[in-house]
Amino acid sequence: MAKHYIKKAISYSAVGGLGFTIVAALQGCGDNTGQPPMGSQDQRQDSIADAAQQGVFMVIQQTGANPDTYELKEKYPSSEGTRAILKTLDGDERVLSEAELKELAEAEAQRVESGESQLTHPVAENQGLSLGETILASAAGALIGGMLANKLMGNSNFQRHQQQTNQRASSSMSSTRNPAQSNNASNRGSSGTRSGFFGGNSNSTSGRSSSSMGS
Amino acid sequence: MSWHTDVDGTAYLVNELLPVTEAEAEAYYKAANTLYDMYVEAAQHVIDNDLFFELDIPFNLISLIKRSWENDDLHLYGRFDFAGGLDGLPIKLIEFNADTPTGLFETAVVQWALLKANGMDGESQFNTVYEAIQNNFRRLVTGLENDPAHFGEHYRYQNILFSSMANLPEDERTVKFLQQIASEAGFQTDFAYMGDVGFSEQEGVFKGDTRFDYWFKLFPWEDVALETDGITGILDEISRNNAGTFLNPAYTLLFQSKGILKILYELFPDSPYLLETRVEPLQGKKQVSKTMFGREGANTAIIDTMGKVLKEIPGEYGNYTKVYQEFAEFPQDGEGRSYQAGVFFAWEGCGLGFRRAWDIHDNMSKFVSHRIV
Repeated sequence: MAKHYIKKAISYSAVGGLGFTIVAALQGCGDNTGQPPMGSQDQRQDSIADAAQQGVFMVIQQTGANPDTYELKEKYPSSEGTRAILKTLDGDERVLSEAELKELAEAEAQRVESGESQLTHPVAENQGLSLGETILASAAGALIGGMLANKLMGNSNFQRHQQQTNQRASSSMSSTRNPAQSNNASNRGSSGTRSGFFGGNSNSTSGRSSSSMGS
Repeated sequence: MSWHTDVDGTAYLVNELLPVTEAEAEAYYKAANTLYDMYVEAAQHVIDNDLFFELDIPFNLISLIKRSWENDDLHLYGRFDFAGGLDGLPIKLIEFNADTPTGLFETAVVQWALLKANGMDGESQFNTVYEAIQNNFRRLVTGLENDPAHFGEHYRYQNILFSSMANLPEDERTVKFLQQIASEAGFQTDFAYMGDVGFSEQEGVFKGDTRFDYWFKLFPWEDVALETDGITGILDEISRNNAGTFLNPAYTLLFQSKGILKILYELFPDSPYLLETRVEPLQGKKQVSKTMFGREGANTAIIDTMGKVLKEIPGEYGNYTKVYQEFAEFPQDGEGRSYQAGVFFAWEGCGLGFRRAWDIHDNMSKFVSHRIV
C-alpha cells in the first residue's frame, strides 16, 4: 500500500522551486569521491555562474488544451545541460531531456524559418504559446546554436515573445510579496511600538555562544 | 549559505544515502505520531497539576504558555530525535525539539536534491516536510478542523513576519525557507531581524509601519524569558490583547524541556518508545545526564553502570536542573559511528533525516540523507 508520507524524488511539487537551485549546487555529488558536496559560498556561486553558460533548468506548465498552450513558470541555471519539467493540466509531471528539448526547439526553429511560428509574429493579447514555442522562447541560446539563434535574437517580435515568457517566469519566482504594498487593512502607524529588543541596539541579549539558536 | 560546512571546516552534509526500508520508515512515522499524542497528554498533565517548576519553566512565561495552550495555537513544526529504528534496534525517544528545531532545510530540500543530483528520480524518501508545513501554515486561517486546501475561502490578508538573529546565517537560512513555504501557501510575508522588530502591547508586532498577525521567531522561549528589558511582559500583553500570535507557541517549551521526559515516563511507563528517565541518577544502569534546556548536546554526559562519567560535553546550560535518561543503543556503521534519526512533525510525522556522530550528537554531527529501499 502506498504511504502518503513517502515521496518519489521525481515529484517537483514536494519542495517548491527552491530545490532546483540546490540541485545545481550539488553538482559533482554523483562521483562518489566522498568530497563535500559543496565548497565555500564563493565556490558555490561560481558553480552556478558556470552552469548558466551550460544550460538551464525550466519548469513549464501547460495552461490550456485544444489548442495546447504552455507557460514558462521557473528557470534556473543548470550544470547538467538543459532539462525541463513539464507539468500538464492533469497534474502529471514529466522530465524533458535535453535531446527532447533540442528536438522540439529545432522543429520550432524550422517553423520560424517557414513563417508558421507565432514567435516571429507580433505578440497578441492573451496569446498562448505551443510547447515548442515556449521552449524556444525560453532557452533558444542553450538549445539551438549559431546562425539560427542569432537570427532569431535579431527579430523584434521574437524578442518580445522572449521577454514576455521570461517575465512571467521571473514574476512567479519572486513569491515574496511586500505586505506594505498590499491592501492589508490592518496596517497602522507604528507610533506606539518599541523595538531594539533581542540585541537590536545593545548587547542585552542573553548571548549564547552557539552558532544557532536551534536545537 | 553556511549549513554545508562546520566550523571545523569539515563538510556538514555527507554525500551518502543511508538505505532505510519502508517498514523502518513506517515505524518512525508511527512513533512520531504516537509520541506527539503522548506529549499533548503530558503537557495537559503539567498544566493541570501546575508542574512548571519541575520542568524548569521560567515563571514569567507561564501565562503565555497557558494562554497559547488554551487558544490551541498551532504548533508549526518540531523534530523528534530517536535512537534505534534501524538494524532491528527498537525506536527510543531521545527528546523532542519542539520550539526551535534545526535541520529543517537539510531534511526537506537538501537530501531530496541529493537524490535528484544523482539521477535517482525513481527513488523515494520519507519526506513530505514542505507540503506538511505548508498545510500547517494554511491551518492558521482555515482552523484546525477544516481542510487546509480551502485556504482561499478563509484567507483575509493575514500576514506573517519571520525573524532570526542577525548574526546567525544558518538560522536566517532556515527562517527564510519557512517564509518561502508560507508565501507559497498564500500568505503575505516579510522578514526582519529580531532586533528590528517593533512591539506594541495594544497593537502587536510590527516591521516599520506594517502590523503582522503572526510572528515566527527562531529564538528559544527560555531565552526570551532571560531578557531583562521587559520584552516578555510585552509579548504577554500582546497575546492577552489578542493583538498577535507567536510561532512556535509558548507551550512548545513544555515539550522542549527535558523534564517532560520524566513526566512521560511516569504517565506511560509501559510505552515501548520511552527510556527510563528520572531527576536523580538511575541505579546500576548506563545512562545519559542532560540539562532541562541543553541544546545540540551541550551539558550532556554518558555515565556507566558504576556512575563513572565516560564522556562529557560541557556547555552553558549548567544552571538548569538535570535529568537522567537510560542509555539507548544507536545504529552504528562499520567505523563505529552512530546514527540518530530525526523525524520532523508538522500535524503528523513528515520527514526523516539522520545525524551521524561518534557518541554524543552535538553541533559537530553530520547530516546524512536517506533513501527508501
